[in-house]
This record gives sequence, structure tokens and C-alpha cells, in this order.
Amino acid sequence: MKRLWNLLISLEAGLVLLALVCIAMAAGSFGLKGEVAAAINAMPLFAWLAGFTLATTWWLWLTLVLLALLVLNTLCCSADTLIQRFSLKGVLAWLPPQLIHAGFLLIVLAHLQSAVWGFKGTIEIPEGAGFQLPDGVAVKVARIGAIFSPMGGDRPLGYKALLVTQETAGQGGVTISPNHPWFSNGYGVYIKHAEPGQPPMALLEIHREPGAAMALAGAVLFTIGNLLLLYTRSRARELALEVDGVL
Amino acid sequence: MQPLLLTFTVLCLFGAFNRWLTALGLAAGIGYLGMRGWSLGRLPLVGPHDTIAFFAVSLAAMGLATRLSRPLRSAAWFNAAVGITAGIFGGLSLLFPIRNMPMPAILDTLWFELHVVLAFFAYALFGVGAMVSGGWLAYRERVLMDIQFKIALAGWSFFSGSMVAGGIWGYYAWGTYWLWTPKELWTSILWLFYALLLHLRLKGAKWDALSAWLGILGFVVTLFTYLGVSLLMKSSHSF
Repeated sequence: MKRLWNLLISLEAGLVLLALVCIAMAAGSFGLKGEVAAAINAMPLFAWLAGFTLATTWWLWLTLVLLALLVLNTLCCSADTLIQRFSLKGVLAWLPPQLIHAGFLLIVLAHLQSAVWGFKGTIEIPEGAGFQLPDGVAVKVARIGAIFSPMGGDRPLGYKALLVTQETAGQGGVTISPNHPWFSNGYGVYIKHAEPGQPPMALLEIHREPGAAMALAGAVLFTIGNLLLLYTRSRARELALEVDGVL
Repeated sequence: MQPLLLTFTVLCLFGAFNRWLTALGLAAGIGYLGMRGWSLGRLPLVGPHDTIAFFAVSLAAMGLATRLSRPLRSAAWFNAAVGITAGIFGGLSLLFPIRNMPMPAILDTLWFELHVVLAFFAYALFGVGAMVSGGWLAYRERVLMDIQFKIALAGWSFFSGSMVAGGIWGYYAWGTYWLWTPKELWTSILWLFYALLLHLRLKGAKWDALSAWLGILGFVVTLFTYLGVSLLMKSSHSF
């Protein structure tokens, strides 16, 4: 049991796993083209894994297994550090790396959540028509337009659409454009493209990323830990911590 | 405007033996980026010319900032390495056409600018870290590995910040904070690689040689992530 625990908390195991994840992802990056590349971003990750053969997805399965082991290693290392080194006096020495670890773990969990329960859909719709979000909210695309540079030019910089729902009808609807989607109960409506014509057509995407909030929480924790680590590793702080016997 | 970039390149390349000439080159480079940004009405961060020029100026800036640390103040080899590397990239940027296109609406957000600026600061620091690693392999002074660790940590922190900003931008722009493209995969590889390098420090001085070689390899991974993926692999997320 002791040997297993030592393996789980071992720095060497963490280093090897980090290297192997890098290699697995690098191998996979060269195969991400064509139909495979288009499909992986058009559906939640586990749907893609289930829909393609192992000959295509092996690198991602391998990455997931290695990441799971890395998560276990990170959890055990952090637990061991807290057991061994927890004290309020030396909080600045042990806390920053643990915050970074916690942020990393939350981000991995967020990815898992989105990979399993996420939703991605595409709809091509003419101006004046309506569609329904997966949660039942009815949306009408009242107007479709293009965004041009104030300096002129023939090519639009992006597209916009006026969406009207029962909720937004009172305020005249809501306009979506690049970087300005509309959210309803966790579903985001994004405009990707539009074509002029009679009637104009818009290509909309509907996304649900259930892990987004957790990923943001992880990013905040991670950033706080990172800033604290930079602060404690500055020359003056290192000297002060050495004098206090913390480092 | 271009003569300023040319001045930056020449002063970095041929003034690499003197930090004041490198600093003068840096001032010219910052002047070029400032004037180009002024003419575009935004930060010059789109397309190979602008990004490589930004990278070159970032390299010179991070190199000169690192030069302020005591052990490197009198290290002529370090100044030469920074100057020559920044000069090479400055020259490379001149080979690409200057495009004065308006910013596509999808890129017109502070999150995108923050994402790219932080990434280039990180890339530049990884480059400077590789030079310090090379210095350790040549001179075997332990203090150089302390500096290499701090540079890697600072670079990794900028890179982490860039990934966070990129995730937030992606969520509003593409509907997801993560896309499975070669660029994102190599971004993760680079992040994990430097996480590995930083953890290796915990193994102690016996592992300095491996750390130094990994510090150099890290810059190769950086260049592949930045230029290699954009030029060699098909990715919706490039330049």
C-alpha cells in the first residue's frame, strides 16, 4: 500500500505522464484534417469518440487515459503536501502550487463535463423564420444584416441578426453579432455567416458548454495561484522565506 | 514606417555586442509598432508580418529586461544572443507583405488582443530562457539555472494568462472555450511542456543538464506552435 501511495505521489510519475501527454497530443495533431477535423468540433467530444473508429481516435483515448492518471497524480501530490506541510506560518510557500493544481483539476473537470453533456448544433435559416432551442424556447430571426468597416470596403467584417423571443419581444428583440451571442438557459446562439438574397439567409450555431462556469472558476484559481507563485519566487520574498525557515 | 523596423533589425543584428545599441533598436521597434498601430487604429497583431515584428520586438524587450539581473549584466554572450535572435525575426517580418486590412469583427475584442499580446510575451520569454540555458551549457554557472527557472515561470504565467483570455474570447466568439485544432493541441503541448520543465526543478541540481536541454527544446516547440502550425498544418486558428 505504501509503495502504491509513493508511486501515486511521485514527481517522476508526474514528469513521465506530462511528457507522454505531450507526445500523444503531438501525434494526434497531424491527423486532425478533413472530415475528422470538421467533425470533432461539430459535436461534443464523447459523441465524436463514439462515432469514429479507434484507428482515428486512438490518440485522444490515450491522451484521456494519461490525463486521468495525471489528475490522480496531481490530487495525491496535493493531498500529500497538505498533510505534510500544512501550517499557517508557511502558507505562502505551499499554497500557490496547490491553487494552481486546483485550477488545473477544475479545468480538466470542466472539459469532461462539456465533453459529455455539451450540445452543438447548426441551423441555416431565412430572415423572418423561426426555430426552437433544445429547451423549447422559440426564437424568430427578424432581421439579418452585415457589418461593414466605417472606412468602407465591399467585404463585410461580420454579420448580425435580430432575434426575437417571447422574453425579448418587449425590448424589440436582441441583436447578435461576432463576440456578442445571445444566451438562453445555458444555450448560446452565435451567428457564423450570412448571405444576401430574397430572403437573406443566416448560418447560426447553438452551443451549450456546461463546463464553462467551472472552467472560469478554475482559471481564476489558477491565475491567483500563479500570481502568488510569481510573488513568492521574487528574489526578496525568497530571501525572507528562507530566513523564516519556510523554504 | 518601414525604415524604423529596418533600423530595429540592423541595430539588433549588428549592435548585438552593445546593450545600448540593442536598446536603441528596441526603441525603434516600439516606435514602428506604435506608428503601425496608430495607422490601423488597433494593435498590429494580425497576419505574419505584424505578428513576427511584434515577436521580434518582444524578444528584444524581454532580453533587455532579463539583462538587468546581476549575473547577466556583464554577459556579452547573452546580449549578442538576444540581439541576433531579435534581429533575425525582425528581418523575417520584412519578408512578409504588410496588409492594412480592417480587423474582422470576430477579432475585434480586448480578449483577443490580450490573448495574443500575452502569448507573444510568453514566446519571447521562452526564447530568452533558451539562450540562458545555452549559456549554462557553455559556462556551467548554477546561477544561470536559477534565472532560467524564473524566466520559464514568468513565461508560463504569461502563457497561462493568454490561454485564459483565449478561452474567454473563444466562448463569446466561437461558442466554446476550446476547439480541437492543431493550433490548440500544440498550445496545450507547449503549456504542458513548460509545466514539466518547472516541475523538473524540484529534482535538484543533478538534473540541470536535462533542464537546460529542455529549455532549448522548449523554444523549438514554441516556434513550431507559433510558426510551424500556421505554415505547415491546416488549422482554422492560425496567424
